[in-house]
Amino acid sequence: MFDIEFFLLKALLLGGISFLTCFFGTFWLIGYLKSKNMTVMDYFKANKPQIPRPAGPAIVGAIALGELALFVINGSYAALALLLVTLICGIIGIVDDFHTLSGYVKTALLLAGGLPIIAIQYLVPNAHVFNPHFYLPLYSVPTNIPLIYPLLVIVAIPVTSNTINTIDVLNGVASGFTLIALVPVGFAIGLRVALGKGNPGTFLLMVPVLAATFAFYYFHRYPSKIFPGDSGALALGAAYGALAITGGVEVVAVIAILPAIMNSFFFLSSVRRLIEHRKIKNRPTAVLEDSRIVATKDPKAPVTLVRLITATKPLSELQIGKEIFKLAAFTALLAGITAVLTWVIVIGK
Amino acid sequence: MLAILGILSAIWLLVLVGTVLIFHFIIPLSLFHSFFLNSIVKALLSGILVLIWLGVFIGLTNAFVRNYIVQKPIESSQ
Repeated sequence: MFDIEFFLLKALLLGGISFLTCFFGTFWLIGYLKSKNMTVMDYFKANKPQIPRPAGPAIVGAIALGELALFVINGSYAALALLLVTLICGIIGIVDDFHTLSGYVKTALLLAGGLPIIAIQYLVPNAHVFNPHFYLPLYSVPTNIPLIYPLLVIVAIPVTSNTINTIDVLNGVASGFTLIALVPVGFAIGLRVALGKGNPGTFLLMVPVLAATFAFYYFHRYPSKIFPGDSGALALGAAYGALAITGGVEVVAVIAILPAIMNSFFFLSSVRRLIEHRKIKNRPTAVLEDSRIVATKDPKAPVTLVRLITATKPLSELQIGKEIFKLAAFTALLAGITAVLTWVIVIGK
Repeated sequence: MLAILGILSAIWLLVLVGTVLIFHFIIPLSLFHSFFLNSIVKALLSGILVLIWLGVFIGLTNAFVRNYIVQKPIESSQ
């Protein structure tokens, strides 16, 4: 019989481990990075302050510790897979933070991020890391794709990690956006468990990711005291992607991050290649004298979400961040509706 | 903002409509006695539908977004 008290106790323990690790780890990193002059300019502020970067090690460490604890407590191989995915992508991000990798190299390396999920699923007996039965909205019967699903896993991790990385353009956006997106993902996992179509243990996978992101947001929110860097953003995105796969809520997770996907999609279709945003010559936005941001009218500049938001009037960084969070909340609502349409209201056999 | 919300809503609706079209109309099709031929036809029809959907969507949104950014006058600052 399902013991709710023991379940909540485990959730509190895992959340506490990840939250405290990330909180104090980030706090320590702020001082350490400043002492080593490992800072970058906060471009959108009038006084152009130097902000320590990256916070990735704290975020990666917090998620990894929480998932390791879950693996030890529950024997959950899905937790082990999520831990390894986050670790691999976080390490790639750390390399990128200190030796900027080209867009193609980074994406190729991130393909390795999905390998732990595949390896553990097929090498460890009864690991049950993921289920190749793909649930779609409005269709009652899950689609079994045992050959295609592993390929989708390999592709999904670079997509989600890069997607969160490309939305990391303003103070607090990457972490705040991820927090909002985790709400419908948690709802969908909870819905599956409530309807008997999922394991309650799957819900615990989300707790370290949520707790670490929440702890980091405290320091990352406007005005940021530290930036996540590529290590932090890639790790958050990878953890999010791994959660969607292990939780079996793939479509819901994609809908929840649609604004970020749209940002990546428009950027890629504008520049037509994988390129570091630092190497873009035609700037999509300009900073006014009062530090407000406005879209440029340059037809060669890439189309980005921030450019779209500031197309009609200049906005401050804080205002743009709030607009992005409103978009995230909107797609989170759509993702929640998608979850209901996937597991509650279905058409057909 | 309304334009962006409109694009997001359109993407979401297209995902739902695409799912219904593919899984409720194309997948149940049985045009041939051969399972292999039926599978090929279903895969082709689904692929064509996805490509048309993508092509139309990419073309329309890119055109709309570029016009929206380049043509839209910027309100005078307050």
